[in-house]
Amino acid sequence: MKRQEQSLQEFLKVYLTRFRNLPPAQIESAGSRVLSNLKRQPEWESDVSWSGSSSVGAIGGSKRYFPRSTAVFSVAVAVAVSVVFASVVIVRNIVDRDAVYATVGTPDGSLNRASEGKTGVLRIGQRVEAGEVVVARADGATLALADGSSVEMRAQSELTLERAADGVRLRLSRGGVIVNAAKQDRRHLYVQTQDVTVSVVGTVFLVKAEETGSRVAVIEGEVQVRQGTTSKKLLPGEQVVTSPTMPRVELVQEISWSRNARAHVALLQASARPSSPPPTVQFEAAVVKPSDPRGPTMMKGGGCHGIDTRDPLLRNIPAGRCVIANVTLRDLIWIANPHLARSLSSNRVVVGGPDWSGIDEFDLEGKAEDLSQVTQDQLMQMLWAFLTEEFNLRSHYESRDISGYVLTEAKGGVRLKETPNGTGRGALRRQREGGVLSASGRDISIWYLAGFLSAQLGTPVLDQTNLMGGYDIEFSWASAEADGLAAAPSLFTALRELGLQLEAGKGPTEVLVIDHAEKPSGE
Amino acid sequence: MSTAIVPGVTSESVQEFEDLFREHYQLVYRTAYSMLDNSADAEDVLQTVFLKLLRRELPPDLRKNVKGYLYRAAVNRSLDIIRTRRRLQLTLDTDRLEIPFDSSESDSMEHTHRRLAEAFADLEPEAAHILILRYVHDYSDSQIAKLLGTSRGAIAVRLFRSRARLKKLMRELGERK
Repeated sequence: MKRQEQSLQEFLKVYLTRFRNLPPAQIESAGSRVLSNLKRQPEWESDVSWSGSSSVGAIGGSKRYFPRSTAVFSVAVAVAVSVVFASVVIVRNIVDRDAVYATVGTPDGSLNRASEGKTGVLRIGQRVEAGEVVVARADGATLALADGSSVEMRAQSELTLERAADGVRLRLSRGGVIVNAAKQDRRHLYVQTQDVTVSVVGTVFLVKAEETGSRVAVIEGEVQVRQGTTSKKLLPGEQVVTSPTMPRVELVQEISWSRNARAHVALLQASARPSSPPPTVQFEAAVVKPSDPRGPTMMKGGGCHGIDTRDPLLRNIPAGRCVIANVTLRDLIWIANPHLARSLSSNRVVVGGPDWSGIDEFDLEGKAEDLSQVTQDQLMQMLWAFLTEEFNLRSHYESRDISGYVLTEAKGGVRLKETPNGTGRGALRRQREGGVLSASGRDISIWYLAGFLSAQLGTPVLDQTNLMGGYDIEFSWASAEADGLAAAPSLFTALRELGLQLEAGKGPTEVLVIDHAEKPSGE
Repeated sequence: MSTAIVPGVTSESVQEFEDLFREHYQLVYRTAYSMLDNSADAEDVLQTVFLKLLRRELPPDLRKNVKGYLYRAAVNRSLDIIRTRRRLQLTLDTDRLEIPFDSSESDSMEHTHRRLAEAFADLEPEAAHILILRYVHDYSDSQIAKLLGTSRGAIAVRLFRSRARLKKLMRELGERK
């Protein structure tokens, strides 16, 4: 290869010096997000009080980070200072616990400030003070409160953050919110609409302010709902409306707009009361444990085998079961969320969480009750519910830009044969004959094809077609080693013949962000 | 009472950690990005490195050279990710990933960078530390020596050897494909 004949120094200059010019906005935005995440860690609360904005911005300011590196910092001075310092810390901690503010947790532009005389787009990490009015511009816009609670807002919802006598009040003027309230000792979080007040101490619940009245529903934990002089306690799965004209709506449907809808549904199932009907989406038996590096299983990965599974690799798993070995929590999440891009590694589409979530490996086995009837989708839901419970998982979805190749429909339209009654569950089989590679398969979804192309190109391929369902696909292309001698087109040309366009680009990809995870107890 | 961030180190201000983050996050992020070539993984490295700092999982000599520690941690964590990625790609989904990089367009920037990253993963970590400082951060021999706590002469020799080793690994990877 020509490039390898160049001097290594030239080569390194070409490939590495380009990183000197990363856009400052990109770095600052990453810094803001990470700092914001760090501030939500319990270690931060216990050790590091802060009161400034979490927007990183330009570096500067104090350079007095660490420390007086010598013992010259004499004991006598330290003792003298520590008395003053301790009192400062105590005061600051009290101030911080009582602080009423929130920071924006979703990308720039997801929320607007709409206070009188103070309007504009809010940026990620930016601080919202008590008394300010905030409007969500998109479903799933999130505010992180100073006490660790988070508020996810539906598009067009409007709320104001206020100080209450014993905590924080969110005044919801319109729209809906899902609140994940942090556990609090003496303080309370209130959500107030025009006709109802909800008070909580550690739970997940929905509040909706509609024209005719309000709706409150509990996903996990319990809340106290007060309307006028009457008060009612709500448990998971229960909901109240303040007007008889408001119809009862299924809670699952009510929270479907949330980026964490699946996690909420899993929570609902996990925390359903014994008197409720048993959840339908649950393994009959399942176990997850740390992988034994000296264990007999050499397999890495795995999946689930349902009645409609066609992938030959997954069909090696006993029917009605999920068997996965030697993978990280991120891999498990990636496997359990089939809508996350398959063309990207688990570390790119499952982000955040504790550092062990991408390092420590686990083995998992789950078995459905009805082995001969359960579908792949149902098994995936069981897997997700099981992971949510076992790892005490909390997460949300975000959209992030990823560069690679973008797969679109060519101008002349697609020339693919749709599989009759297809569900897009087929797999492509690849063959090689001399310098020509070919791939063929029935009932292939386009997102699967994007994953396949990604493996061929060694680069993410993002599916930006609007093609749903399954297709019968067959195409051939010349391998690189053929060096132009094979009687076949390039991969790009082969795709064009199918009416698909593949070009370099960048596109929004859904990623799952782990907000909280704990290692399984092993019980 | 104190709010020590690091065992044995008494912070004068609770603002210290945030200042530390602000001062060094660009170095950590840029280092990780240059090795992993994507923002999500780079952000992940940034979070992991500072999370460890927050959780006090630190070597006792941190205070001598915090920048050097953070830089090394960024490179080492990035190398871990490259190695994990390689292992996963070999085994997690064999149907999709049986023989990657065989299109005629395989000589792309991304592909070459991935090969370079794989070669880095096979280098001694110290060699990767030196090469990234030179080519990504444009450090001179003496600046590298200062950050890594060694002599300028030693860096010059190691830089030469690291390049030679990298060249050999790149060639081997090329032949393997």
